[in-house]
Amino acid sequence: MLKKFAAIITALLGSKGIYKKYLILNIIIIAILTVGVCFVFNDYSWYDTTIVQIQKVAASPVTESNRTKSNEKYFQQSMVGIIMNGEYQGKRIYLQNKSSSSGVLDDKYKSQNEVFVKLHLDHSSKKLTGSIIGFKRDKYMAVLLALFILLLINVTKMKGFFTLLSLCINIGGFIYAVHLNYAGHNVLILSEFLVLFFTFISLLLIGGFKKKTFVAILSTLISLCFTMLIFKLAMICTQDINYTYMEYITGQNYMADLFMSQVLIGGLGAIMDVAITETSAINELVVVNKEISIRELIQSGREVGFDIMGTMINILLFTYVCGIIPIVVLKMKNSIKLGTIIRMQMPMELYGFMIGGIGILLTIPISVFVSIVLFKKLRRSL
Amino acid sequence: MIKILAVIFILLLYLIGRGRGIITFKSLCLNVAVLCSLILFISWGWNPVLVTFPCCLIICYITLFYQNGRNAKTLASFSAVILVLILLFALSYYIGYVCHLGGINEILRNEDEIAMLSPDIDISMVQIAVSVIITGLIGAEMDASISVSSAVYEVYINNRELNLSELFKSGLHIGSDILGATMNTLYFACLGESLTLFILFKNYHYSFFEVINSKAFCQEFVIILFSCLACVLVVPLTAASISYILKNLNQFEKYLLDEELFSV
Repeated sequence: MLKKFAAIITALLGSKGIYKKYLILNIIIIAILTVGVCFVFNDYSWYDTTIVQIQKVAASPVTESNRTKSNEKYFQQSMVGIIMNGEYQGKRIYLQNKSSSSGVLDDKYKSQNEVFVKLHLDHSSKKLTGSIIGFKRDKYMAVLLALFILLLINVTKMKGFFTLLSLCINIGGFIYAVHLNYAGHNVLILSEFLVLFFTFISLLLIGGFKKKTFVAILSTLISLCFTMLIFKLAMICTQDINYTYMEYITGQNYMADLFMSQVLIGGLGAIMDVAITETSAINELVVVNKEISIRELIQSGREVGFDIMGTMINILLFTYVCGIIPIVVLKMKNSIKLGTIIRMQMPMELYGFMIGGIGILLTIPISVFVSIVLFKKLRRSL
Repeated sequence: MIKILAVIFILLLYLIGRGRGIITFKSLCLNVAVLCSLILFISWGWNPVLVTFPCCLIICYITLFYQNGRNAKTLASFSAVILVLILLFALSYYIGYVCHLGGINEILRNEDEIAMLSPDIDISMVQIAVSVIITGLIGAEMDASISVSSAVYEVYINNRELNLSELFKSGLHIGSDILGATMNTLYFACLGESLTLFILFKNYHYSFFEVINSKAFCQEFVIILFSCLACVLVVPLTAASISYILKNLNQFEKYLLDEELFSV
């Protein structure tokens, strides 16, 4: 069995000679990523907040008389830890924490965990005490990110670099826009500019500086306009969106704009994906057979569209819906029925999914139309 | 509002997709039903991780075999998707536990809507976090997988002399083209969702280090990272399995229903 498996692997990889180049590339990448991860593992001095590494944990169950219905168990954890940074570095600290078996609002700490602590500076007692304000997650995130980059570059070779580059530039633009929004600019206008920026950067970096990239950009923007037009019309016709159930809106008062920009950015990726697939397909057909008729092009464009629309809509469904599971479960455990949640407390994610789906469907004919006009008609007239 | 959007959505699905649109719509409904029952099962107190796995299998089955037919492409995709799912189940379980990703994050818990609810639910929130990660990645994973397998299939149909290694390489080549676009889709969907979160971080004067260690950010970040990881992992596996199936057709004859392959 194992021998057969090894034979298949060697057959898949083919000759070994060309892999020497990638071996060197791999070693370089692994070295860079290891340095980065090691750095994150020892970045205590970068933090202003006190970091404590927990050494010992003792947990004792707490019984609470007022909770009768559920089997929820509560624990009082008392911990001893060592301070890793700042003025009191190396000293012992005593911490208290309350945890529950389901952990909805609290965390259960174990030995060797690292937590952020607010010190209680009380000079009367000799013991240093503090309260836990957060968990240090950056090192795990760094390991995951490094693993992802390593795999990406191994699978996609150089193309992965461009994808990562475009993601980084986009994050930069996004953070700058958030800054501008904080400075008082309207969020909707900002995200309109942001969408333009995203479209150009991502498509140019993924597709390269080619004619079909510009066709893809054009069809993305046109489809986005139509999608938002439909959304805006639907919003004007029925003014019953309840913004109370939007997440993370504490202390903000321009909800309609915020919601619009959320939907705008959320649908952009899917629309770009469809546009780039359609334009590449049409371009390929025109290049291979210059005499191909417009009717045939429309037919092939539709075929390609059939193939991608189902899975693209699925991507949006799962990406949007997965985020609401914890809150829906929490509500259902508080005896709110699933039907009530869907009807009365419509999670905003469902709107995002609907708009994204409409966007995907609209993009199929629009991008076929745009690419036929640009590849076929314009070429003839030149 | 949602009704109007739903009507427009279904209308467009029919106008653009016709017959295929209706199949897409049916499988979408089935997927939504599976998701709803997943939520129901979890709220009944069943183990979230153990419920998520069969639900994911059903979703894969619906999307691949019902929506795209039963053939060499979907068979290869199905095996690769399941393999990646098992791998990532283990990884996300580990990450969920060590990173304390379960529970309602520090920002949401202060909102009125959540603050009114009782936290005594007797379900492990970390396990719910695992099922969130897995349901989040399955759509993208299947998309990447089916694109690779159908592209390799087309290559094989047009040129049957290619050997295993050449088919595998063409699969990887096509896969790297697809990955960029798929990751973009995921990335913007997540970015759009977390726009409000970032604005909130800015308004509350969170520093960079506070942001990257906060539960709110890490929950979003892990979802997108795992989705991208799933896409990256599934591409070579699908390329390998589809080329293996195409080169050893006689072994898989009884599972395959399409005639095209056998009419040489």
